[in-house]
Amino acid sequence: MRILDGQPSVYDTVIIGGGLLGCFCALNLARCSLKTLLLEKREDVCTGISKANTAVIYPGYDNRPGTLKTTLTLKANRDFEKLCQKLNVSFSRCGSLLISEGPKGRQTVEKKYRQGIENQIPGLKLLSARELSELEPGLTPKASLGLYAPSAGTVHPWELCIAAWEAAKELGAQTMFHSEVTGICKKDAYFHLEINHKHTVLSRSVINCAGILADQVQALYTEPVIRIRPELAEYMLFEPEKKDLLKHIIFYETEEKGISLVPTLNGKILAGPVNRPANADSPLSTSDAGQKKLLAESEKILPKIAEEKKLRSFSGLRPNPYDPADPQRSLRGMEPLITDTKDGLISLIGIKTPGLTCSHELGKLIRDKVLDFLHIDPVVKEIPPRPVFREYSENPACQKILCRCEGITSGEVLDAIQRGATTIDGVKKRTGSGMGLCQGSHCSPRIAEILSSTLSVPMEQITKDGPGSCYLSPGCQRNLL
Amino acid sequence: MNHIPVLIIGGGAAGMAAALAAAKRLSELKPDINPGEYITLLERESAPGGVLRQCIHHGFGLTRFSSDLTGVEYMRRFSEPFLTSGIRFRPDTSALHIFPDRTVSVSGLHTGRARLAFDHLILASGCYERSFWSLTPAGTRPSGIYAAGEAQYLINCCHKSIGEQAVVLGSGDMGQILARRMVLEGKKVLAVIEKNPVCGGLRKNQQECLEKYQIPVLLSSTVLAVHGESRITGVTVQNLQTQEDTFLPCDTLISAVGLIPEQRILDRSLTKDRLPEWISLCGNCHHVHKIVDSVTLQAEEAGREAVEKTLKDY
Repeated sequence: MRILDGQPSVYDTVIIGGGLLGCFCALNLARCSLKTLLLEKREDVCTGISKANTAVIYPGYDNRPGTLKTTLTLKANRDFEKLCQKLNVSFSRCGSLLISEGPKGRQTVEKKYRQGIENQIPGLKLLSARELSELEPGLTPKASLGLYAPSAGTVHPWELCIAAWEAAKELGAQTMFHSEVTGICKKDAYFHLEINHKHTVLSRSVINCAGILADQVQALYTEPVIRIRPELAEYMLFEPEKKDLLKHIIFYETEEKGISLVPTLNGKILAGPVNRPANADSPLSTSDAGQKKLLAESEKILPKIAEEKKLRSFSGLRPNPYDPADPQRSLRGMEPLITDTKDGLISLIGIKTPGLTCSHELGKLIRDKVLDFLHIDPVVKEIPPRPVFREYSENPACQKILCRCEGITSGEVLDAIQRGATTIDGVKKRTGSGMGLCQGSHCSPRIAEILSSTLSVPMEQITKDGPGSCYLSPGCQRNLL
Repeated sequence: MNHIPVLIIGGGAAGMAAALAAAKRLSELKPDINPGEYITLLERESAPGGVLRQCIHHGFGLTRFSSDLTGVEYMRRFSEPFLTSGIRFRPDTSALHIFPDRTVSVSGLHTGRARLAFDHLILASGCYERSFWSLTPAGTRPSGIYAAGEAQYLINCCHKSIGEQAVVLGSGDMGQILARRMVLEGKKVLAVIEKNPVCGGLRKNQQECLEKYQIPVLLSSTVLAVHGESRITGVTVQNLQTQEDTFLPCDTLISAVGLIPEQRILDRSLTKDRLPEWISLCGNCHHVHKIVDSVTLQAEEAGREAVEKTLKDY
């Protein structure tokens, strides 16, 4: 195996996977001055499970008192403003309503209320049908009982993930994109990580945050005790003309697990998820049945949503953990599934809800485990103020609007590229461009042109989201080669 | 804040016609007033013309000029006099929001962020395209899916190739013109998909764009699902009458599924039904016109009226 750059690159810790967990692990380890490397298979951070989810910061009544999940969720929820302030990301503590219909739904609400009281969730309240309609007038009149949690909130998962990554970079963490881990072995005190079957990096510890592939990455080293059964989670986004159509997050509990409606930070309504089984290599896709169900359920909860414009639908990945010794046994709902080989490789396999809520807390937990393993006394630096890129967005000469729907300027796009965006979706994740009613039909050519001129690559090589997804004709790329 | 007697938003067919008609009326009624002091036009791009800049096909001006012009030629009949008219032209400037107190927030290359006050506003902001994704199709979300206007801009203004084998969704004029454009670029168009049982658009376009190039039209059909992980590799087309599904392999999908009048910058208190008398809408932001000639007519009237109305208090 060839060593990268002829020199063996040796790290204190290597993190596999640039999703929310990977980025928050990188941030928290870099805070301890560890030489940290983040390996990401794709072209950008936040491209897997973290890319598409419900965007909810949970209040913490879903799990039993005293469990690690509950402890982490409560702490994360309480400190979320502080975290978002440090990372300079938006957060809205809009509160949530768990509403029920039917006897089983009622039981669920009552159970979660009791659990929430035991978990000492601030401001928790059971609401009657009348109180519900006062708080959220558009809600279905059929909702007979509701659980109000004022501490629930919503965040923009892309923004949070990218902010954590940028803060980690500021503390010296390095990143390698297009770097898939293809082999892991340990020689003496060092893990040898083979990348793309070509290069090797050395590290004293490894954190596996490979998301939907975390069990497969674990299997490169030892047989995983947790395996992942991937699921696709379908979502639909609405653009409400009436901006006050929905004020709270709605969780809908009927006889079966229902969907959520979330008033997002950029004024949309996110409905979902509807889940269905998938394979680890099956592409993200939506289904006709899923779309119909989402629409029907959304209208059931918020009847007036039927009059609003649909923006788009999409799907995300969910890593359902199960026990490989007993494939029928789902490990869903279990404690955070941290697999520690005790010799320096820690895997987070099958982390689901509340993974987004707890991403920073899990990052800290993993950091402590790594420090413990490396016998390093923790000297934890503060999260530095996230570097703010305003060179262009505050320049009066860069105020040309490129994305008409969301009002994104050329300066914001240039800053996004300075911050590391290399694709049209990379710009979208950092600025919010292309998220409006025209879905990028006006801004995409213009953003592709700016990417091309700023990165000094032909426009024919600009992609939507990484290799193969060229924005222009795939024929042009062939001609260029 | 400088007060602008007549502010026009949008420098396309409607905006230019409104501006020129306004300037003409002004010179008739008050020849001593400089049109640059009285009339300002905001345009988001660096040159006037709007969507006409990318319309290199002909069929424009049949009623207005009794001749068959290309969109660009039709545009020049207005943009050339407009640019020499002395009307204040602010290119690279977008209007963001129109407030009920007769001000508009703008953002642009030369102004930065600013707020402008006006007496009368002519909104000539055209249309935006209904997005394919708003139809919430099943399947993947790959690259290679373009709105018709986006495809037309890339091909005609950026001189780029967008794909080799295309399927076009929507048989209206836009869909037909783009289907022909792809063929003229040397690309293959597998089919134009139309949900209605009859082909859309003007009969003239059906003959000149589709029949002449033998582009097949699949009627009573829709794109049910998109395939391909990174780049589109095909679409599932469903016949809505027989429910039969067909897979069409393609690397490009051009969606021409409708135009929506662009009125989003109007404050919510200024809805179309109770529009105050100090705003007029003209051109495609008022309603989608079949031909540009009627856009021009409507806009010219709006321009004249705006001057007549505002001169009373000037």
